[in-house]
Amino acid sequence: MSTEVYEVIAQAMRYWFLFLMALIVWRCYRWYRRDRRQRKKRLRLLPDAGYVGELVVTDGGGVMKDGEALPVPREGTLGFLRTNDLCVPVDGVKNKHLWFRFDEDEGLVIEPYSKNKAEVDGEQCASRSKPLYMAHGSRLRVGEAELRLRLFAGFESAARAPVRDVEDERGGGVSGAYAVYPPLTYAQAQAYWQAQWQSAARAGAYAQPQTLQSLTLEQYRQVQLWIAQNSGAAPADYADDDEYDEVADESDYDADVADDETEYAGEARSNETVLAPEGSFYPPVGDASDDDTWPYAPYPPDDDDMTDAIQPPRSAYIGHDDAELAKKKVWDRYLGGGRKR
Amino acid sequence: MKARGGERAAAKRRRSDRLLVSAMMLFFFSAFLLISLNGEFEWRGLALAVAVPALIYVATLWLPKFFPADKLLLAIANFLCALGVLILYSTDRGAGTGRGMQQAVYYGVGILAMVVCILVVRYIKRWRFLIWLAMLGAAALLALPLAIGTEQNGATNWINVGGTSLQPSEIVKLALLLILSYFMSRRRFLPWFAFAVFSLGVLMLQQDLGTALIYFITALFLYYASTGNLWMTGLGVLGGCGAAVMGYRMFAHVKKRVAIWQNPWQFSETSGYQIVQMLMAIASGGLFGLGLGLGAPRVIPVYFTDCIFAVICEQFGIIFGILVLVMYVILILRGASIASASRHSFHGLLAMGATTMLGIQTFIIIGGVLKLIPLTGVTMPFVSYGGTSLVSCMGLIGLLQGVDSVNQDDLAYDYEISRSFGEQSLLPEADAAYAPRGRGRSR
Repeated sequence: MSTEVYEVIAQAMRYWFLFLMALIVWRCYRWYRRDRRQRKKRLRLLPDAGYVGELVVTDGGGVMKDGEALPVPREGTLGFLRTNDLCVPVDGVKNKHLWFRFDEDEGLVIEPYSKNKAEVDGEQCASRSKPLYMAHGSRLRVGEAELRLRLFAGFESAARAPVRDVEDERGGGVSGAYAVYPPLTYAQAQAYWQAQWQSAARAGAYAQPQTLQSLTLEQYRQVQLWIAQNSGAAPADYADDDEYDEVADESDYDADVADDETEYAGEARSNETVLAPEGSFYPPVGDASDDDTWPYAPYPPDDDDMTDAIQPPRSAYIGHDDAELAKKKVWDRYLGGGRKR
Repeated sequence: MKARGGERAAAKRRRSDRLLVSAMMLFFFSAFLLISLNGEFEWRGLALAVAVPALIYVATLWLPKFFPADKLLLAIANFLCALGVLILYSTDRGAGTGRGMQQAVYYGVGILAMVVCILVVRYIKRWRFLIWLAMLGAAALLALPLAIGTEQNGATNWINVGGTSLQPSEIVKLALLLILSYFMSRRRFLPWFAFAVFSLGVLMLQQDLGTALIYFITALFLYYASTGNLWMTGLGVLGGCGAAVMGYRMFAHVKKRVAIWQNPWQFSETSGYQIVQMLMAIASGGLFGLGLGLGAPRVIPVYFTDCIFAVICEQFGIIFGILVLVMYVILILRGASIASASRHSFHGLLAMGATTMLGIQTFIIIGGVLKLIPLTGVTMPFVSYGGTSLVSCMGLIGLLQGVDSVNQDDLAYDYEISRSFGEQSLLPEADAAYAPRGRGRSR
């Protein structure tokens, strides 16, 4: 092509390229904004996304209310100032007191900043190379405040970390408990509790709601068997497990599901608060008197209003009704029941 | 009903994504076709007119089917890379050089590097040993030009390996980010400080001041993002200013660059020739440019690396140049958004560091070209000619993508837990986004 013709075409094409470039930038910007909006919406609908648990104030040193819950992110700082992830404005707490991070294997790892003091279940941090570990139910004392950790469902270390502690305390008495019984999935646990509550409701009994973390070893074993029975196949982890095969063969579960339900309902009728019975691998420390003050018993026995007691909790994160209400509110307000405003 | 609404929203989103990628493909198809008609018809131009849009399609829409990836980041990075290939190819016509084709090959290698970085960030869970290994390797690589390096434009930061030149400081950028992020996330200040000081010291010895500036600002930014310690950060800034003053007094070429920056017209025939030609090229392009393949970009010294932004403005116009800057801004905002959404401090710092690095590098070179700051010899990310630079920038995008994929996994996990407790989903959009589709997820 001759230079003159090319120049004419190239100069004409400038506007075409500019138009396309403007379109590209505009679409990129729209894309960016759209994703940001969607992310915000999703996070609103998952109010506890990103948090691993909460520290509940059991002794606020006269400043914080007992029972106040501080959501715990995966990593962060705790201190007096509001710039910290966890603000504990209590005497004895430094501006930036300690650093914490959640570890899948160890639980919540606590590292106080230099010379600051912190205690976990009465144990004081000796040096930075030996941090403190908190499991579900552990107590943290900083300054004049005492906080107790409640790990949310979904963080397996809640069940795993205590095994180490129990072994330490009892000289390996329940070692391997976790290894023999692998963790349940939430769908499995939910299905189990659903069946249990339904059978209890049919029998006219009150079923004490339990969390996955509050199972005794025996209950845990029963749940696993129930799951294996109802899924129609042994879990993969049990495939080569002789003990499991033996138990599965001897059990009558596959013969009569109704018996099963009755048995669970009978258990539910006992209406015991799930604490730390003998042989339990969870919670690891503390006695019954400690747990009486635990503010997170799902349905306190002295609560008069038991109308929802047979319904399973809808959220693993916060109070079941609160979570549901928050989601519905956000749904109505921001999503217009499905249509974007 | 809600699920159908979710599917409709997802389909609309996919259409919107395809529209963007189609516009990009059309842009490059028409541009390469036009260039190939300049003078004698050239088959290489036609081949690029097909290959580059195809590469954009594959890297933006097809690749995320195998890796959870952020398509917007991919789209912007691919667009900028392809723009670099286009500009280099257009300046090759009549000059007898083959930088455009070489850059197209580097672009392909860059995509591979990006994939590797995604996999590394996504699947490596235990970093401790690897970080120490990377630290040793990076330190050796960075110091290598002091022993066997060659000097280019006043800096001894190149080495020749098997007939090709490499700039180790570009590759070490990735290792630097991993190392600094790891130590800051573990609150290990001493190794962080030691490695940062070592890197800066070596770069100063090599007189590679542009890269040293990028390293310094990134390290300082990571320190502030990690600790929030304003006093120490301020002290670092003061130290940086002090080092700048020392550099000005110690190095003659720094003095010269500052003098050129203050009044380039005084040295318009000698040392200020480059910046004067850049300013004239931008001015001659005007708002709409002279036209693709027109103008006289080759009169600007090193028009293919440091000064490529002036060539873009000359050929496409200042408005186009501003739109390119907007693309960079969106890229940086997206990176910051990925960093803030991260739930692990290591990943957050990594994403923030990669974003800072890209942002600072863009600011330094475009600020230099526009005479906002003294010109330093760094490349324009994704666009400038240079295999090491392109691969390093795509690696940074890979790190960002890796962090984003971890974020998406975390969110999907939360969503799954939430859904398992409800009878029906309240999140049709999320249903559509997180439903298993193919072998990977993407947004």
